[in-house]
Amino acid sequence: MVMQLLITYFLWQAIFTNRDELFGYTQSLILTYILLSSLLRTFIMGTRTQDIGIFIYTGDLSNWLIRPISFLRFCISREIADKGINFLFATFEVIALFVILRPSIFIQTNTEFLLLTVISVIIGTIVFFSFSTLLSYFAFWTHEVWGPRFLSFILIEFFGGILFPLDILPKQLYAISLTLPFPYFIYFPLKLYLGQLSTEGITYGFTIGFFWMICFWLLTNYFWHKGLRTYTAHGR
Amino acid sequence: MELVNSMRKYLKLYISFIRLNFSKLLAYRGNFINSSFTSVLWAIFSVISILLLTNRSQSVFGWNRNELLILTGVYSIFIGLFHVIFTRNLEQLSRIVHRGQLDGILLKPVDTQFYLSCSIVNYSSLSRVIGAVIFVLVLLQNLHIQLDIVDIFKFVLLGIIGIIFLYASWYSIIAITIWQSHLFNLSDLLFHITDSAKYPSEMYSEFRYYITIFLLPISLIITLPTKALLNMLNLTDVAPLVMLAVVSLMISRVWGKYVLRFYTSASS
Repeated sequence: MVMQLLITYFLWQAIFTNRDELFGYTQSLILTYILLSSLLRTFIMGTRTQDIGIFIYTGDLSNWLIRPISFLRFCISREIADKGINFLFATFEVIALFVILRPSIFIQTNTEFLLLTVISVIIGTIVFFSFSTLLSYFAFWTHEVWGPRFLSFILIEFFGGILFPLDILPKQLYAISLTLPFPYFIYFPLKLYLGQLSTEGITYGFTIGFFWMICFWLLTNYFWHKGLRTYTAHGR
Repeated sequence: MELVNSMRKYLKLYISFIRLNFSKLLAYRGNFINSSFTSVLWAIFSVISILLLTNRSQSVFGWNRNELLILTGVYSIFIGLFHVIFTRNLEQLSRIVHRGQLDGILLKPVDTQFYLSCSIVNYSSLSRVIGAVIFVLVLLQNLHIQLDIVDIFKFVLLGIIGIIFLYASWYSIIAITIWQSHLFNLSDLLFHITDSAKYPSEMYSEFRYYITIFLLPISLIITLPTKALLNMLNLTDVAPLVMLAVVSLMISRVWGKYVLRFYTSASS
């Protein structure tokens, strides 16, 4: 995480060497975006849901199915614990980098934007958890679970706004990307934090974010029950 | 004569690895198609990133848009080749050590480093290499850059030297897992460090931070072959990379043998 952050940070710093503003961002805003995206990434996208796929195709899922606890609730509890640890370490790393690099960053003071940011982070976390769990459910039907997951990594890297804010894309591509679930992991919460969204943009973002949250949650439940009917626990 | 026989033996062995891995590819066709598609998509997104970043800038660190695109293409060629030949092998070293499977490899009548580094051939990255070669050729044609045999020779030679340096660095670091087999994520760290080669070396030399000094040699791996294509190469730039490649390869060899002394089998 530190390496990728450093490289992205230096790249943007280089681009802003001879200019004050680019794509509607000042150096302070873009460096704030980069630092916070790495922090948010560890929280929202740090996940153990890939283990679900391993449990399924090794047959270890059987051990959980016979226990008197909900497998999904177990996964959610483990996820929260894992995110807590990841976020703690990431905070220390970002603070250390801040002390070393001393970038000029933007601090949001508007409590409304801060509250909206927190809500969007929660939505993004639920959307990502459901999406990642859904990918793991491929294991009910095939051993080749890593393929779709790698493809999703790339789509998220690009359309999630991790490496750069999505509004620097051409207008049509930007409009299409906002209909996908990926911008609601990192890009949308950060735009809210930076206070750069209009009321229409905020309403649109939350609407699409809620849509994907409900959609993935329903799909996750549907494919869990469908997958259990085909689950054979071979190898056990 | 003994050296020639030895080289012939390892060449035959490598051809066997190529055949075996091709059979495995045919058994898992879906995985191959998905991985190839992913690899090409990753390269395309790298190109789009450069197009976006240079949309409003005439140049970044003295490199204009077309030069940066060629740099990205060359990155896909040589890092793609590195992924074909070495990456999967080095990624799985920690798993091999952790499961005690290194015993079987140590008992084989071949050089351990060769076996650990070359037994898996990752065909899915070949699609990225082929795509990148076509991309670079089209770019060079659009820029009316004529290459002669000397330029191509310099390009290929510098690329091979760069890959040798990258391999030696990766192996030296991954070999630590023979000591500490729980370090599964060392390869993740190395992927991110290798990513720094995507950008011009001038980006790292301009920053006065100690933490970037070790990224500067990595950035030479791709910058120098690209400069050879664009006729921007100075011979003084080449000497550090050659020295680094030779020294790092020697270190990886000595270090690899040294850490094997600490290997304790896990009741295989």
